[in-house]
Amino acid sequence: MTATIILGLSIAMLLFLLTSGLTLIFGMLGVINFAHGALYMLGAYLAYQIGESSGSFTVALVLTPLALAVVGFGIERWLLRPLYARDHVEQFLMTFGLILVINEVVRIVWGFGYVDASEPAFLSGAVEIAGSQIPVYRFFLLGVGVATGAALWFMIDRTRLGIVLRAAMTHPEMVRSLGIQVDKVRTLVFCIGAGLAGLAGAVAAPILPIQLGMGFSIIIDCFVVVILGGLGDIRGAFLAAILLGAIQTVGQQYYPEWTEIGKYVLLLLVLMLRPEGIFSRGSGRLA
Amino acid sequence: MMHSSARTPSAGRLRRRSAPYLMALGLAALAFVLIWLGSAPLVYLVTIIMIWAIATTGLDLVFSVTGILVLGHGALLAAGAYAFAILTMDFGMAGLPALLLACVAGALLGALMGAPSLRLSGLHMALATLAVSQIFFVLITVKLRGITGGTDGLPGVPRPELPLVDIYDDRIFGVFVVLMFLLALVVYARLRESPFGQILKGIRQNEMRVRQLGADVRLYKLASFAVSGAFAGLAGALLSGQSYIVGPEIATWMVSGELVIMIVLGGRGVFIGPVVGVAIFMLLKEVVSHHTPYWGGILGIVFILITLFMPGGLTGLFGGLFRRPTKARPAGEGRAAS
Amino acid sequence: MSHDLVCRGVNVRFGQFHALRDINVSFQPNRVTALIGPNGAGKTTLMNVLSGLQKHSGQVLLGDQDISGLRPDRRAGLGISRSFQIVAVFPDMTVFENMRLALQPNALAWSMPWRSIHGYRDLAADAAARLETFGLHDVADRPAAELSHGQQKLLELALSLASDPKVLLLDEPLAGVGHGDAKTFVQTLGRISEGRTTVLVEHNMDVVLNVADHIIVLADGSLFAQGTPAEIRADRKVRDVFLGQSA
Repeated sequence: MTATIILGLSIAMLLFLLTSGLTLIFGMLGVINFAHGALYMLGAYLAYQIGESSGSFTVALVLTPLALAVVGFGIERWLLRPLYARDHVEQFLMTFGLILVINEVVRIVWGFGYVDASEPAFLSGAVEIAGSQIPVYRFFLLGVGVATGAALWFMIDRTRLGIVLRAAMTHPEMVRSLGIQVDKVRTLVFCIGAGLAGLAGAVAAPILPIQLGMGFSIIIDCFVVVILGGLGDIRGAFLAAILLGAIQTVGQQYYPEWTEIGKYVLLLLVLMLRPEGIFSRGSGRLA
Repeated sequence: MMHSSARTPSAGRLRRRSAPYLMALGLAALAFVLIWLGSAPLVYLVTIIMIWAIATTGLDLVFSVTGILVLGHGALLAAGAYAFAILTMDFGMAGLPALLLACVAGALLGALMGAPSLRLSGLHMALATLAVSQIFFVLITVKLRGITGGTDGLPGVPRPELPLVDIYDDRIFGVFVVLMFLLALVVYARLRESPFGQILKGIRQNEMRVRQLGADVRLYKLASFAVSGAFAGLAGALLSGQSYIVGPEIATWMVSGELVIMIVLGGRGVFIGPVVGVAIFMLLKEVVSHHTPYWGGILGIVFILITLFMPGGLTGLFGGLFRRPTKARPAGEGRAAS
Repeated sequence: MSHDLVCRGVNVRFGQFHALRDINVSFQPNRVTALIGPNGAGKTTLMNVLSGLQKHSGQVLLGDQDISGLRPDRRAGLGISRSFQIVAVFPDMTVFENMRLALQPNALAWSMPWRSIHGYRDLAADAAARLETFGLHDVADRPAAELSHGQQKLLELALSLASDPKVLLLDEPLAGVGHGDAKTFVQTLGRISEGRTTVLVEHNMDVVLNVADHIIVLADGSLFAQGTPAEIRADRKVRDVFLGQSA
């Protein structure tokens, strides 16, 4: 039972890591980044590669988010920025094209099969709690998730950057007239979002199969979390990820065939009945 | 300005109004020639293009005309495909009635998918359509495995038998598809210029005003979804007959996304935009994949470039050539003799 | 008597903000009732309540019928029509197509999906005729988006009259219209309000005092004063409420 909870929570944290980037990007830029799953996949592959080449998990953990942030910079600056004024379809198209390109790049570099990254030695092994063996890595995941959540909350709620972010989200013109370059803020947010996707990929690499389809399967879950938590709401995403992780874990144990459908039905219900999200606190709130 | 009787429209106006029908006829004729005289690969390519064009034309009604972004349209094709396969293989139904019921299946799922539009719009609506299509996808791959064959699908789908001809000859099947294509385009053209179509256009441009004018917008949206579903059901059924197999891949969101992309590629709101878009997409895929295994990435680059530099799609490049707004008659013309 | 529009105890709240407080007013047939008040007084909110776009507590009655819960399209069926402050026309359609579409729901019981719209000659003729009465026949073939603001406002007015409504709700029909166009508007307003229950929200006091038969003043969501133009013009409290706001 405890093992189930901890395992479920660790998956929830992974989901949160990935979704936090997505919801930040949506809240700030108003763009649903369908390519977010592809960025996550790229992060996982990169982390594997860096880990293999450097021999150090820590190096991979640090460099991958940075690398993805750079990729994110390029994407926002040259591909997304021209599209802010245009409608959702064009943004969707762009991110769809990005998915194809990123997929191709991964295919070129790493081929069609899947690669295997292993847990770093200092995080391997298991701990016994309440009679079950729980891998240490799961606790690590939990820790990363909580730490990231705390860091994000701190940044948004307590720093000047956070204030600017929140203001620029709802009143970009006002912020611009105060002399702050909203464009740069947007780019920064996208970089952070992409970096978070990279981080998610890096921490997922040792425990999930790294393959071409990994972005597709997780992105839908991310949408569910984003909607449940409220677009742009980090705290909401955190809570929603936990809810989804719980549903997933409980579902797999007792009603495996209905879990998938249950998630989408939940998404539909939330969209129809409370489109601002179950955990959100009104529109425009980031944290 | 008294006129003694209603005048018939001028020649120019008649020419403009018949443009979509003439284009449809022209395209069908071209396809027919290519199929009748072309090599086997060409026949295949043209047939596939025609089938997908039926699907995108239906989607166009909801997406371009009514202005609703749909990210789950693939499921509607799957509905028709599976309906056709199951009816013909498990129930022994004849091909043509099964085709009809495939349309109905598509229309029903389409209406279901459109139901959220009664409350939602924009991105939320798009995600709702995605959710519906995902539910459908999971149903066919998991819960209803018994009848649908799960992820493996159902092999051995027959083609709709027609009297006097061998439908299993790819050329004959191709001609049949061309006829269905022509039918679809004509129906679509008629819908666009019907009162029903006018309201749909109005909904895209100013939904609140349409409501204020007294039309029940919800019914119209549902109807447009149902019609698009019927087109998709037909396309799905034809696809499964073409390849003798039906599988769940067409219900994935990648396919749904490609359908939207094809319309934007061709040009939104233009009558033959959906057809042009499919043709370009398929041709690109064919040509590029022959030269490099990395055609996916190249396709992606093409989308990115088109989004950035050619938002009007290919037909948008040719500007006003395809758009013909209705001209009003001067006041007085058309009044009956007093 | 079936044309009068009555509000009984209408309240609207947006969260904590009490936008309309216990509104009890009636708008009588064959009269132009102007709704005036400082910004934020609740005029547009009341318009939204009357046209079915705003949820509220309390009742809205058309004659004897309680129409409180009815959606805009149902109200249109009962003869209520509205023009919008921000022009709500169909920008990509021509002026003619706009007019024709506006006439459709009334003229055609069912929007047939298989008949061509061009087959409805009478509809087209009616549309053309109405455009002429509004002076828009010259621009009939231009996309509505290309019209000048004043012309768009006229089109807006024409569209709201398409259903020959018994109740006409006009939300700032003169907003942004230049002086010259304004005179035409006033004449047009006078003409179209005959035989209807007309509610007019307007900031231009000259127009209001000229055109209105009855004036209702809203302030802070409540009914502040009402009376004939002469009474309102003379009322000190009304002047204060406006002056106070414009500071």
